[in-house]
Amino acid sequence: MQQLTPSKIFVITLIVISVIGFSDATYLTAKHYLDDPVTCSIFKGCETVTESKYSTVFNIPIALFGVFYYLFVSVLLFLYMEGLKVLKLLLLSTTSAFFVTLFLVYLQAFVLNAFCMFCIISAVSSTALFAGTVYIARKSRTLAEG
Amino acid sequence: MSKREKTEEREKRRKGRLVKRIVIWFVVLAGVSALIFYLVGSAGKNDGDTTDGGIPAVTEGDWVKWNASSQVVLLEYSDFQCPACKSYFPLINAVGEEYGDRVAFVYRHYPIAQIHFNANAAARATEAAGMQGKFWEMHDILFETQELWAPMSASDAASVFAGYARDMLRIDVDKYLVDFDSEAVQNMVTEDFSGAVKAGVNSTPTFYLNGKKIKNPGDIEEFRTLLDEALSNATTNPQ
Repeated sequence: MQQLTPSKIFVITLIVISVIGFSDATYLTAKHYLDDPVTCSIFKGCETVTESKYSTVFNIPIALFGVFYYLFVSVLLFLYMEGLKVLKLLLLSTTSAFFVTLFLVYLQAFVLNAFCMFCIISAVSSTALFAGTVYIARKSRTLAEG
Repeated sequence: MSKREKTEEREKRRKGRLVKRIVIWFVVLAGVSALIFYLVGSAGKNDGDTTDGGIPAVTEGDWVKWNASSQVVLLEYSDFQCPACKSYFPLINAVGEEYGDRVAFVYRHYPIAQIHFNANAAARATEAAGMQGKFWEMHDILFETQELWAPMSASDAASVFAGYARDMLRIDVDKYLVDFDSEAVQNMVTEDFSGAVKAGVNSTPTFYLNGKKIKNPGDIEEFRTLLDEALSNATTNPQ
C-alpha cells in the first residue's frame, strides 16, 4: 500500500494549501460577523462581493462552509498520508467543491461584476486541491495497474 | 504474546497515535481561527477612534442640509460611485426624516478615482448643478441611478449627467456644461478630497459627528444612539 502513495511532499503541499484555504475562509467569516458595515477603499476595493445577497445561504455566510470544507479536506489528507483509504472521499469532496468554486467565480464575474481578493485566494486553493487530488488518484491507479 | 496479539497491539498504538495527531491538528487550526478572529475584531474596533488629525472645519463653502444652524453636525465623506455609499443613502434619508429638524448634515466629496472611474465626474456634476442651486437634487439622482452610469465610459456618463441636469433638474444646461468642465468646480471636489486625505480618511463612506470620526453605524438604531447623545451634550453644554 505504501508504494502506491505519491510522494509525501506532494500530500504535505496539499495540506498546506488546505490550511491556506482554511485561514482565508476563516478571515472572511470573521469579517462577516465582526467587521464594519460595507465600505469602499482604495486598497481593498468595495465589499460588493462579501456583502451581496449571494454571500450567504440561509443566513449562513458561504465563507463558513468554506471553513468546514477546508478543515474536512485537511483531515482527509492527513488520514490519507497515514495510509487510510480515503482517496475516493477526498476526490468526491474536492470535485464538488471545485464546482461550487466555479459557480462562485461565475457569480463574481458575470452577476456581481466584482471580485474580492480573499474569495479569489479561496478559489485558487480549492482548484489546486481538486487538481492535486485528481493527480494523486490517477497516479495511484497507474501504479496499481502497472 | 502471540504474533497476532503483537500485531493487534501495534495496530492499536498506531490508531491511538493517529487520533492524537488529529486532535492536535484540530487544536492548531482552532488556534489559527481564534487568532484571525481576534485580529479582525481588534482591527475593527480601532477603526472608530483613529483621529489622525482633524478634518477641515465646516464652512460656507460646504453643502449643508437639514437644520443648517444646529450645533450637532453629521458629516459624510462619500463617493457617488461607491456601492457602500449608495447603500447608506436611504439610511441617511431616514435619519434626516427623524433628526432633520435638530441636526445638520454635510456632504463632502471623496471620489476614489482609482477604482471608480466616473466618481470624480459625478462629484463635478453635483457641484455644477449646485452652481444653480440644485446640488442635493443631483446628489439624490446620482445615487438613485448609480448602477446605470457606473459602468459607462467617461463621455457616456458625462452626457447622462447632462441629461439629468436638462430633463430632471431643468437647469440651464449650457451653464451646467461650462461649470462641469471648469477648474473652479474641479477645485471644490479636490479640496474636499485633499482635506480628507490629510485627516486620514481612506474609505467611503466615512462619517464624522461634530468633527469626530465615528465607526460607521450599521442601522438607524446606531445613528439614533449617537445623535441622541450628541444632542443631549449640546443642550447641557451650549457653546
